[in-house]
Amino acid sequence: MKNKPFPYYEVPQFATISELLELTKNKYSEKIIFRTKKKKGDEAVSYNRLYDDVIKLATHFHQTYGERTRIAVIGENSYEWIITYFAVVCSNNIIVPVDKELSSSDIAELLKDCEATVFVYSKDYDDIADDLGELISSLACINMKSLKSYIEGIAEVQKIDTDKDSPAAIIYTSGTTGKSKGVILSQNNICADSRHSMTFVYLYGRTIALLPFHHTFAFTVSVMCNICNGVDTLIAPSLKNVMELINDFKPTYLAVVPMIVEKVDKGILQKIEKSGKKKLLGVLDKVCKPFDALGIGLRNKCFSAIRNGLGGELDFIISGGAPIDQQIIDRFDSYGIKIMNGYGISECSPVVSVNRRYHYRVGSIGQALPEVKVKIDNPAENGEGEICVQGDIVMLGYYNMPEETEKAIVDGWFHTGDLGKIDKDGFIYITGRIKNLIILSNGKNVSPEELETLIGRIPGVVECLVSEEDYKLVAEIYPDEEFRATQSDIQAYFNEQIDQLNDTLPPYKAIAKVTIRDTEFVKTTTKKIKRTYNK
Amino acid sequence: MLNKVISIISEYQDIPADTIHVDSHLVNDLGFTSYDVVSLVGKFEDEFDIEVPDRKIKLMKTVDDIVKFIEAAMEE
Repeated sequence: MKNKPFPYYEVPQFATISELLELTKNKYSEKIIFRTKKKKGDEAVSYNRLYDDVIKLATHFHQTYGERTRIAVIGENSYEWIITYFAVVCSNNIIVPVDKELSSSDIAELLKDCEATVFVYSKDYDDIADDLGELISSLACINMKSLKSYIEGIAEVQKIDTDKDSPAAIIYTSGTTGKSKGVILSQNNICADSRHSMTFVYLYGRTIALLPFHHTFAFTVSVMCNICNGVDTLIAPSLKNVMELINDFKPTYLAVVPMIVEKVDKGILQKIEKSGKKKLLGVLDKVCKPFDALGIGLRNKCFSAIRNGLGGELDFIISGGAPIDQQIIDRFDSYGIKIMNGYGISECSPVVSVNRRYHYRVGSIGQALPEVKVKIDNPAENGEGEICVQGDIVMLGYYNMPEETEKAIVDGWFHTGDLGKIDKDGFIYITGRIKNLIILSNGKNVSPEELETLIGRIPGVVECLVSEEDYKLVAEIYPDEEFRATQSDIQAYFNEQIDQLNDTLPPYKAIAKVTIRDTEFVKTTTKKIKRTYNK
Repeated sequence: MLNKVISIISEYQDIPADTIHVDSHLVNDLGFTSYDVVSLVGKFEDEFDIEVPDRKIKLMKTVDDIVKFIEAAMEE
């Protein structure tokens, strides 16, 4: 079936959130769109209720905060988080989703940068709200618990016109210098990316929204696309019980980052090893192959034991946020579960390309979405160069950073900072990065320079280099020789110092290992540490 | 308590229990990723009938941290 011509899926036209909510309300009305599991009882939300809640909350926000107010939101995945986002945008205000792993001081920095004056938080973050209230005196903090009363308090909803091309969201992303950049997206950006993604991948059935909603990939796929396609979505507030949720809810598809797929894969391999059926599975794979070519699916039956361990109905997985190991894709393929990997970047709302179910190339990140142009800037002889993107998914710019915006968007092309090449059929291959950002398998981007600056402040550090090793961040330090002589155990000293630094960082930025080197790092002619050479 | 915690870690990570000590660091010594630590906490929640907010998980760096956290949570 590979690479047979495959049609685009039909997707309704919508360019604003309210258009999406209205058209899906009319289509699905009492059908369930979101489910939550709570100790006090499970909750199910229909399309009708979603629409009503959003327009009432939008009316409240509009009456209370007017328009163009920056309203930030923080919290675990929840229905309240979603309606906050939608209501802010539908009231002609600007939503600022905040990474829940950031510290109060980091959040304060972001809120000051985008001049946010309202902060909506879930109850687990009330201490953050207290801190922010002290750091930013003009900030109005709203507990999500209050949203229900705001909604109930609206007797008459207001019709609010929104401009699809105006700023709707500011998404903070890791900058290469350590200072986060606020990516400004319009409703048209967000809606276009959702529409284009759905023409390539058909979402259906049931799913679990596992990834944090402030992650652009999670929001576009697990919220926007699921609403559009009528996918019954269980909202997971945490990643604590992923396997239990999968077995209980029996999703037909999942949108995840490679770290989750890797863990599921490892668990399956361990079970296969313990069962002693590794050879049998190899035989079954060979039996299935000729039938695959004829389009006869035997894998669901042959690999039912493995599939049942994943709820029994999992048909495909969309993997985004970071590169995924091809061997894992192949293994899941053999179980009859297709992994579709793609490529995205917050500045492009975020999905740029994806491998389709029957139209893909091994090792590539798929073809550019419809209506999205991708080119290689200044290609070398082997065709490799910087990947550039053009289309209605490209951001409006970086907030309050005109120079950065000018550097990033040149003649209408967004420069991704990723290196790659494109084959004759339009499949894109990533070959490296121009920027030094480290992409972890959980989809988080980490600027090594930011961490190196912080480590450089530790007494005794002359030079240091942060890199990734086995999915973890490691720091290599070249210490001051005189300082080294004063320490009985220099390794223990730096371990302790790094531990203290880790306490101040979001968990994904924590340094897992420290090594000490005896010589200076190799430098470029401009005296910058050569990253690749020193690895 | 310590033995039970070690047994759950051993089963989760598929490593012998006798290689896990009270001062073992989950990431540095036992090879956990940040996602593993979150999943592991889910197992402790079920086993000890406690609730651990996601934001507290970063405090659990060593086996000793886990034991102390669970003991305190069970007393509440």
